[in-house]
Amino acid sequence: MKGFGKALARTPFAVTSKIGMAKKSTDPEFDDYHRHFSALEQGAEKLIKDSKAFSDAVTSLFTAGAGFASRFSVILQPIAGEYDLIGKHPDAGHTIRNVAKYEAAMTEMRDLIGPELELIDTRIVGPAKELQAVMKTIRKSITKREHKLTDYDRFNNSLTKLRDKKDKSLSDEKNLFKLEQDFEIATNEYDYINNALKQDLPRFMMLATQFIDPLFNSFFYMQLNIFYLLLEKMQSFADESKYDISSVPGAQIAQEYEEKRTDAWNIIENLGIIKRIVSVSRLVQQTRAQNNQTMLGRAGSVATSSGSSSLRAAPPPSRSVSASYKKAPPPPPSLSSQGAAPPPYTPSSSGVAAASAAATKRAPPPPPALKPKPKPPAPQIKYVVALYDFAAQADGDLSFNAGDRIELVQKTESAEDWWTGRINGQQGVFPVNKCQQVSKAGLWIQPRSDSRPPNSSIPVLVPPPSPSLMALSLARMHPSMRIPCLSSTVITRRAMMSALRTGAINHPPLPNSPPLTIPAESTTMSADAAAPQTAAPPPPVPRAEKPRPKIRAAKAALTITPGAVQRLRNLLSGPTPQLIRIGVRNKGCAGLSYHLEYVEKPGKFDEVVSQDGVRVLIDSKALFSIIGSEMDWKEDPLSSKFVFKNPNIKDACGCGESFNVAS
Amino acid sequence: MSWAGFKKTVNRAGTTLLQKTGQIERTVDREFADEEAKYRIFEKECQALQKDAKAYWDAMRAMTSAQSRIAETVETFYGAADQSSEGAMAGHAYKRSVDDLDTSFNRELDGPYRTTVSEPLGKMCAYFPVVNEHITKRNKKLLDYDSARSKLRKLIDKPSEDPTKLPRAQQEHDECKEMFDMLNDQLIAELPQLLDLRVPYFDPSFEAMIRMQAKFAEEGYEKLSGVQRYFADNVRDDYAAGQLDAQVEGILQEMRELSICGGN
Repeated sequence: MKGFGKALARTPFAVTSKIGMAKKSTDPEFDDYHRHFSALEQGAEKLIKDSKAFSDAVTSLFTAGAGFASRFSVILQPIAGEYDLIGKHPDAGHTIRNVAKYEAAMTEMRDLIGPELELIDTRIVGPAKELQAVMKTIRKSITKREHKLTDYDRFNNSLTKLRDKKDKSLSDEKNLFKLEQDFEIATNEYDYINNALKQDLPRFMMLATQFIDPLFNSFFYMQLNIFYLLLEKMQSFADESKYDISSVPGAQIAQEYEEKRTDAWNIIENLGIIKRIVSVSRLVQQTRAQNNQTMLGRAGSVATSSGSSSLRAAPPPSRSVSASYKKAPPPPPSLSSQGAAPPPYTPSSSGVAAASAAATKRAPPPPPALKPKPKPPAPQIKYVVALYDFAAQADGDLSFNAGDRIELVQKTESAEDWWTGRINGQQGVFPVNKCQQVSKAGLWIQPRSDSRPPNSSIPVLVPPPSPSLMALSLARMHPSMRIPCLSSTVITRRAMMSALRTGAINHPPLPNSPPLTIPAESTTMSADAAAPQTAAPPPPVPRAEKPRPKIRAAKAALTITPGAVQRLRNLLSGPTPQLIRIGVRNKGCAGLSYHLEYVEKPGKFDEVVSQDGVRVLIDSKALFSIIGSEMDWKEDPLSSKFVFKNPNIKDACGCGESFNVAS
Repeated sequence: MSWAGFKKTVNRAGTTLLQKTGQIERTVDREFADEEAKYRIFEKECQALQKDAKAYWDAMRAMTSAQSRIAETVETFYGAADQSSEGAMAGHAYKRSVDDLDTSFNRELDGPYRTTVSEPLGKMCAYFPVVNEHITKRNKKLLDYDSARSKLRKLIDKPSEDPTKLPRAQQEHDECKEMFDMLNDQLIAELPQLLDLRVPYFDPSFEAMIRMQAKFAEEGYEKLSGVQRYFADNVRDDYAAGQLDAQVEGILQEMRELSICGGN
């Protein structure tokens, strides 16, 4: 209660001194000490906090270290049912053998560190806390001094005020006497405590320094000990397990790690199970493409199929077999149809449900990869055609006349070499530069030879293809075509002459040729043979075109991209002959939309477009809106569908499903 | 969830219920179960490893930074009295070496730690959700397959009026089986590979970790022990003998005897 009264009495002064109405005395000397003391106070607090943080960090360092080691040893040791990890990964054998030791070392370290931490707790944090307690009492004294100072100032102020008063009343005189007494007491008390503080604080500072000395030393040794423990354990472990732990820059550790990093990363990255599943149906399709022979069932679709009538090849979930399927003539249900997978493509709209239902029961079209490749290049016999006569000069040489076809037995990379060939059952070597190669595709390839063949005195000419016209021009150019080293030997001349002769006689230069494709253009070639080094015109694209119905455009009404051809081939290669008809329906926001359906045979006025062996029908009514389009098969993660690039389109819906041809 | 997805979920919930009550038999795939169990262990350990590795590194950093803060505090204490005493010199040296340790640790080892330990671990742990997704998908497809199979069996046992029903069920069954088989086969083939590859995958990290730990310990020890030169000769022995503690006690006592500590 007494304290409360005092506090109450001091309040007015505290307020007035704050707002500068009352004078407050200061003691610079004390203020200086006070500042230092406050710093020390904060220091002690921080010291305790940081010591705790430090010991916590050390604890977690060693616990985590031990945890890390034990996890690592679990991971690098056989997990239930595995065996011989070292055998499987001999490179990692060293690690596998030592991981258990590492674990033991780390655990031991964690246990060893316990006492050290306890030391920190008792020897550092404990005294620091005591120091804090001491400081608290000193702080109390300082507060007390503050109070006494307040009292002193208060009475001093009142006293001076009263003294300065000109005409004092009786009560003033009485008060003055009382104030003088109070002031004296306050002065005494303040002086006492202020002096005591001024005297003792410096001593305390000294003591604090002395105090921190041993404390700091102890703490230092404790920290050193922790590092030493860590170092020693690591070293003994490394010695035991033969690890090189010599101190190297961190970058080097990283670099050596990179060197040791095996291709396990790449292998793991290539695993299928770490790739996100986009759609199971796509996966199924991929697998089908891979092992196409053993395919059963059909893909269910995760992708949603579009509701519009445009042809979207959403792989149809057969689970969703709906009433619309009833329209389809139900195929003979048989258990043996297990093996029959419908094509993965089915139009989703009900308009084509008939077709899709029919497709459902059809024998599985083999997946794309099964398709016979256009023509695997069978082991072909290669031929060269002689341009000039050549008489054997030595044993093992092959003689031939211009125009002969020589079957190649052995060839070398160089076109100026001597190759081994066979003609009329005879085998021998011959100079290549006297011949022309016939490539697989039936192209003529001229050996590019501008220099003399090795081991041969035969002069080198760059002869144009043999036919007569050229031969004549060659004859005209003859002198100029002599290449410096052309030492006109008998053979040379003879060869030249016979080239001219045979060229004139054997107009089709290749009589009785084997079934290999000597291009029919061989005669016409003479025309552009004037450019000696150019290759012949490209081989005609094989185009199996069927007889067409009466009405047909001069140009195909529809072009089909290779992708679409492939797709159509899959769709159409069922046991029952069937065709896809493209029509146009009046629907969609722009007015018209494509409509695809299966039909058994072409309608009367249907336009048949046949390209690369697939046939597509175009509804005669739709011909005008479709003509000139390009049909493509597009597959992306969201949908797979036929798309049409239609030049007639004047207007199309943003969704791409419908279009308009009228302007 | 899309409508189709929702339908599937509902159907599968039904199947699970029927399986629980024994209406639909459950496919048991021992091979997969084994692989999955192993994979689960691996997953768990890997995640724990990642956590521990991170904790370890954080603790190292916390340790050095706590040391440098302590050094600062010690300096304040010396600053209160005189700057030139032996203790103050030692304090300075200590602060320097600890700061040095703190920065060099951060600068030199942080990057290597990231490349050698933290990144591989993180990468591996990032794979798990995807693999789990695969497993979930496989389980769902298994449910589909079970239900389709039981439907087919029922139809065979009790042929329906509608002749189209059986082939349709058959087809659905085949389809489910194909999907399930594909996912299952992939998991069975690749889970062991993943598990197997962990050894070469983590092997280099192990050595790098050891080397970094050793480096940390060595550097810490070297830097700190350099400070000893500034101490008085007897300090080390005093510490070993517990003299320092006695000194601390004595000084505290002296402090308490100060008149200003009377607290009155």
